[in-house]
Amino acid sequence: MTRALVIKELRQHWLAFLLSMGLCGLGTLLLVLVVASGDAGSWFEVLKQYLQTFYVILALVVCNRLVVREYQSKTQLFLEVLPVSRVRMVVVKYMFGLLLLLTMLTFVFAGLVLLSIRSEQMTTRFLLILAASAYAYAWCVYSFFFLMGFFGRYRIPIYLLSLMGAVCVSTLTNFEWSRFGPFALLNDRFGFERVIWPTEALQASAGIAVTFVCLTLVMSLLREGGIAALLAERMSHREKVFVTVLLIGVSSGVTALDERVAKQPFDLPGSVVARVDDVTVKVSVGTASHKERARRLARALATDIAALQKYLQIPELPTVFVVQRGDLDANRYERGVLDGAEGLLVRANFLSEAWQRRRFQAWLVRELLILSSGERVSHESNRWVLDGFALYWTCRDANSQSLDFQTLELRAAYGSQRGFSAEDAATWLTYCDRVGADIASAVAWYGLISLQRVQGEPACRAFVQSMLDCGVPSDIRAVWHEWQNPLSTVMLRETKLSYDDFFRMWSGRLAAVERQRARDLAGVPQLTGTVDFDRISVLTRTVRFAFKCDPPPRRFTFLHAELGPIDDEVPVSDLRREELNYGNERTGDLPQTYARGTRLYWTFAVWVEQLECEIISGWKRQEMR
Amino acid sequence: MSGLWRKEFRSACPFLGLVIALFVLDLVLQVWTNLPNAMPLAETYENYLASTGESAFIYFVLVFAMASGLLVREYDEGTMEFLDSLPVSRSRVFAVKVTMAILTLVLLVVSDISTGVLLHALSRNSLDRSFHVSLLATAFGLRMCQLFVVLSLGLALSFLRRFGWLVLGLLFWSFILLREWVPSIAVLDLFALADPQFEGDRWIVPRRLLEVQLSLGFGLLAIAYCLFLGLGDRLWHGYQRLTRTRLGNACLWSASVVLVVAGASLLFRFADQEFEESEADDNGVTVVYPSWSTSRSRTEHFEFVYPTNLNHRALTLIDAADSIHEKVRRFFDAQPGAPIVVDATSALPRHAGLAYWDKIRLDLRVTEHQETLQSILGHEATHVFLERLADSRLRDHFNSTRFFHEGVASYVEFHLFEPQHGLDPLRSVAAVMHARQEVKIEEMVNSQLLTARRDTDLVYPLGEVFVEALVERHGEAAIGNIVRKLTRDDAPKDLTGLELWRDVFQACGYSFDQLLNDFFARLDAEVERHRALVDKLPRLRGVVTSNDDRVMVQVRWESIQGWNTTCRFRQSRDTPQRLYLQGLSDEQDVFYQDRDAFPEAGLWFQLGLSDGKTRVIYEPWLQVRLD
Repeated sequence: MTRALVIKELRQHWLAFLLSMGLCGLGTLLLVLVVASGDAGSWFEVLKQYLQTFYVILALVVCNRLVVREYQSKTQLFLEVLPVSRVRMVVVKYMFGLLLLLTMLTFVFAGLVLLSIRSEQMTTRFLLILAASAYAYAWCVYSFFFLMGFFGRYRIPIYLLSLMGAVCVSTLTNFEWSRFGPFALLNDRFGFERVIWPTEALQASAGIAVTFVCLTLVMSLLREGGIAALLAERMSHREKVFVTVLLIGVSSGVTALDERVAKQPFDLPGSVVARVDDVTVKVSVGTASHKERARRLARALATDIAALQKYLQIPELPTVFVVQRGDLDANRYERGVLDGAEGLLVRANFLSEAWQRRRFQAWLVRELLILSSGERVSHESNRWVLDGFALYWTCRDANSQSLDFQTLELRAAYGSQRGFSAEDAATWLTYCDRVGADIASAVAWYGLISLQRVQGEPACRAFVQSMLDCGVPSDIRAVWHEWQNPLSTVMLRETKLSYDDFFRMWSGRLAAVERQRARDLAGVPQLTGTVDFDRISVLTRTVRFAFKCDPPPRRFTFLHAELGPIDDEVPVSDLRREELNYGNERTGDLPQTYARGTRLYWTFAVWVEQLECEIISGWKRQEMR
Repeated sequence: MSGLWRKEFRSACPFLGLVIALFVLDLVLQVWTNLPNAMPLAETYENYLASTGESAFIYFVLVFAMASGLLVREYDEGTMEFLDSLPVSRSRVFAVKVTMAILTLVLLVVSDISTGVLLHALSRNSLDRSFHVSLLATAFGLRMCQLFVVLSLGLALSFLRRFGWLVLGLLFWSFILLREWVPSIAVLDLFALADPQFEGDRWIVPRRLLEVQLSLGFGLLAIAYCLFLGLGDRLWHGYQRLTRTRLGNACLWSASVVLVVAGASLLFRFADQEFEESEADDNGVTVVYPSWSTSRSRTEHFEFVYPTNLNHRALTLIDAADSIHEKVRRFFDAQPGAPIVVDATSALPRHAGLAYWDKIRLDLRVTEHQETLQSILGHEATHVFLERLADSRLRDHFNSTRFFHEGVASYVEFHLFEPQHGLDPLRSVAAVMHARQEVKIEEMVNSQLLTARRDTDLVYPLGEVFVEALVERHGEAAIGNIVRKLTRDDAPKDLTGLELWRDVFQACGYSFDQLLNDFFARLDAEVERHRALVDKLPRLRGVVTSNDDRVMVQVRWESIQGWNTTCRFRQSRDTPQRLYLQGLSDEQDVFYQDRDAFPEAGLWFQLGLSDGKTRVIYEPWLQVRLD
């Protein structure tokens, strides 16, 4: 009777199987050619690719023909009237399909062995390891699809759920599928391992395959095959909608639970640590001879940040990590990227002779507030408060007032001279592009100083506390918070001064200081520059620049970056700096070639000693037409 | 007619529900886990306007799955007879079905784009107030075209039922294969259609791609239409009739045999090409091809397979092989392990050697010089030892660890085997790149990014300098420590780039950021050491022109003695290195390639300076728009 069953399967499916095997054979030939033209280390890479692609589809087709179609068209009922047990019927189908697939696999395997004879060291052990891995994987995959055939209309949702479950396990635990069972059998060592048996993976694969076989028998025999027959019926519309909703629900659950296994929080081994209250600052200097300087810096920063925490009533501040970087200029700092709120990592050259701690502190305060608020405080509508506060905080003590205050005041006066209106405060990023970040910050600082002088320190403090509140979650609630607490509302609430009145006072005072410092301002250089795009072909351009400065400086900088298609803030790290001599390099070309349509972001900058900062000719965004 | 629409709408409901749910889910996720007013289009357009990479693949599978049941379900479920009995033609049924499917695709694309627009509305600032309507329209148009082609493909293949997936697999691998030989086949790359190429702020419509793929899409749709009208039925019945007769069966068998023979011939032809006889080229240089016959030899730690005609080179190397193994083993303080198989039987077009798990592929043709061959074997053996130490996990993080892998191998190669003079050219490349401000740590720890922007091979000089800085600060044992910490049981998964390296260094008790300080200090020193070369090497400019046949690049430079220009092309940012097209040249400093090789809206080219020996110093890749 077994023979009769086999003949029945052959008669019913020979053409489909032949066609599938023919297509797979063709696919294998393609794989051979693809592997040959690549950098694969072994011909058995073809076997791996075959098992991962064509074999899986072939198994799917075979199981669909042998099981799904049989139950869907209810032809199993004819078999059930024959004098053959249901177990035998299922086992014959299972073995028939398995033998078919393994025969095909054997052909592929044998062909590749023949191809490899010339270049491989063929040992019996190597071939046995290879064969065991391939056949165990093949058995496992086939058993899975055969079992799924009995789930009828639910098999596709089960495939999807299995996939989501696998993703879920991989995401929520440290479990690695690539190192488990059948997946581990086809790892990077497949086709190369010639000594060590993948015992664990083989055992796991065999265990899984046996489990699938047992489940298959259970499914096929349960209630005399009635369950399988019921599941084989087509899905109703309600069922489809229900399954879709279920899948979406599960995927939402997986997404919501998506949390990576926590890694060790970032640290700087061997660094100098200073702790003041809840604030920790770690400074890494590398060489023992500079440890004392690092210790002093860490202590000073920790004290300052702890005071800031109290002043703004910030519940928690991230640890600050400072790393010495000798290749950086003294007045330029880099912020490192750390995941989440692990801390603020900055790189600075604090061992340089030209190092200015107060300037660094102002930059650090700004970055710390951006990080602590999840970037909420850097939104353009409130940005001037953030920029101004960094300077306001750093120059708050009596010692700083004599020297730093005057310099900042001069910067603010220069900012005013370049033009400052209510529109500029509202479009702060554009204003920063026009006058430069240092000058814009000083203008903002002057606003806060003016507020403090007119409404008193407590009112000013309450205002900045509200504006720079780091307790607002950085998600949709932050947007809600912004809508509920716009700048003008907070200003009125905390300082009893309307925003319009405040701005009149701010701009009036700026105008006054501009007049007072007119003589100093006369010495500040006037910068003008142009950039032209030379057409060297229809498709390519070069960049030619010309710079004028009165009075002429010794050196100047041409800063530039390529822009994306849509305008946005350009990170400092993306800027290229061309340091040039004014004497002989005020006109010149950039060395690169550019494509037509490239968008260039550029400005000229000169360091001005009186202002202790760079001033710029104004950032421009230009397309190379 | 309205009943037909209602029926199709009901059928499409699960898919429509899925699309809406995905849209809502994504939106909720974005506003709940990110700051929604800090996501302007400048940051999100690649996710929401373009369709590339993983998202394009997911859409492909989703649309193909939808298409595979859309038409044939009526036949398979026996409902076609009911439809035929209604007063509507099959053409009308087909039109309704396809229109409903296209409307679903519209919903899919619109939901995606509107997420981006919504977030942009919350995030706009004074630098960019625009909603970029023309950009949105182009994105919508191109993505719809892309999905339409996928839908048509799915509909046409759906009549093959389960075999449709097999045929899709064949088409995929055929495309991969043909891409190696015929670059212009990229015109059929469905993923390229919605891959944005900008000129200024305008998304350039890839006309060539669009013309070919839309024609293909309509052609496939026409096939699906014919099959739906009944041609499929007739073909199927004819096929079944064929199988019922002996003659028909014989025809089918013959066709199968012809197919197998044709495939085998193709394979044989390929194999035959690879092993040509040695011959002299145009310059009179004799190229030695490996012979078909091979010999085998075994030492304590290696098993060699090599072509018989390169016997002499191989045997001299084999004599030294165990001492090479011993040097590398001592460097890592590791166990000898199983013998390493060295396959020297074939030519490697782009490498002198390649390492795998316990196996090395070596190209004996590259040189007759034994010292060099030994250093190559040492280099590759180092890779094998590294993988053994890491239990093959370094390969799991290959993109992030490649510079380290190659850095350690180069360090071993030049410090244990190749005399120090070999190191100078390598270091000079690092020095030049650093002097040009082109060494970025973010790129070093992301090999794909380095390849996309500059040159993959920079991992050798930069990696070597990094490893030397590491060894100087923490000693040679640090290399082994780092590799072991990468494989530690409690290592967090899915870390990449800087995060991965910081975690590994921290687990060793080292500071990665401190080491970067040393690395850049060392690069500064190298720049000073190679100041003469750094100042001497000119920058290269490329003047690109194109016509219907060719794309040409003329190099503008102040020529210097001993250095020549070179130029290579690629189709897209992600083109693998093996598919780069070397610029052809029949005139000094002018390079060209076929225009057809670049069907997308733009092409990438890269100029380089070669000293004719080991060094090629490349300019960054540059994309120019052709359409």
